[in-house]
Amino acid sequence: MTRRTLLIEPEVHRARKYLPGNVRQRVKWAIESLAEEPRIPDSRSLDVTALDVPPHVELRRLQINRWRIVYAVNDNEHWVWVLAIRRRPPYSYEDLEELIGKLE
Amino acid sequence: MEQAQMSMLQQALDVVEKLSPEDQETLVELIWRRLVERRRAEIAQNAADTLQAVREGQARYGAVENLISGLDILKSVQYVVNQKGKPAAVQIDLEVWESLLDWLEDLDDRALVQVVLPRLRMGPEKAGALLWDEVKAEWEVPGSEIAR
Repeated sequence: MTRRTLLIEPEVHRARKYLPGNVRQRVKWAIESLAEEPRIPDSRSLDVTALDVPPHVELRRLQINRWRIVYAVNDNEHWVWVLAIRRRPPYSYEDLEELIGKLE
Repeated sequence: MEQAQMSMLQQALDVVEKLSPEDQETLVELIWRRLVERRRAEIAQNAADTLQAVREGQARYGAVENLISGLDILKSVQYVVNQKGKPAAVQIDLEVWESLLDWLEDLDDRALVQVVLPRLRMGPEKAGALLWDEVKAEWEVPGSEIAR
């Protein structure tokens, strides 16, 4: 199987420090696995109907517990591009202090 | 309101006026409960259609008003009533809640895709995307050895 080039948005890379340690590890492993198999069972294609997405680009979402990775796959150019990491609502605000710290 | 309806309403009020205060309160509660039951039946039917649409990916994305309408008709909504028998809160099945979260995430992700579309069109190199192999070491959590 062709190994794809993995890419990541600079903003997502910067945000890693705000992920809980165990989540960061799991996300890291998940991103690694996308190079071999970008369509693993826990992932699914996003509905981008009526959006002008470039040809050969598929938008997908991978669920990891209460978190998800949004990424793009291009089979023609053999890359996977991590676009965002989001937390599933509702938010517990257990990281409220951290969030406030970011605002200061 | 039509004249005939006004007349019927007046007659009903006249009858109610003759009841004792306790009976009037009981009557109000009974009518209220019947209205709630009728509304729940409507909600169940609408929600069945909505959930089917969500599961089939046919749910439409729209304005906040539409989303609230969609929330309002979820199948398993149950009223929690207060001491006076009036609805004070609602609860829904966990499965429905998860479906609802999926739906919200779909909306969120769709909005995200719209934001990143210009970058996707540029391609990763021109957009300045980072090569994972060059930054992945920075994702290590010091001292953290978690089994996969």
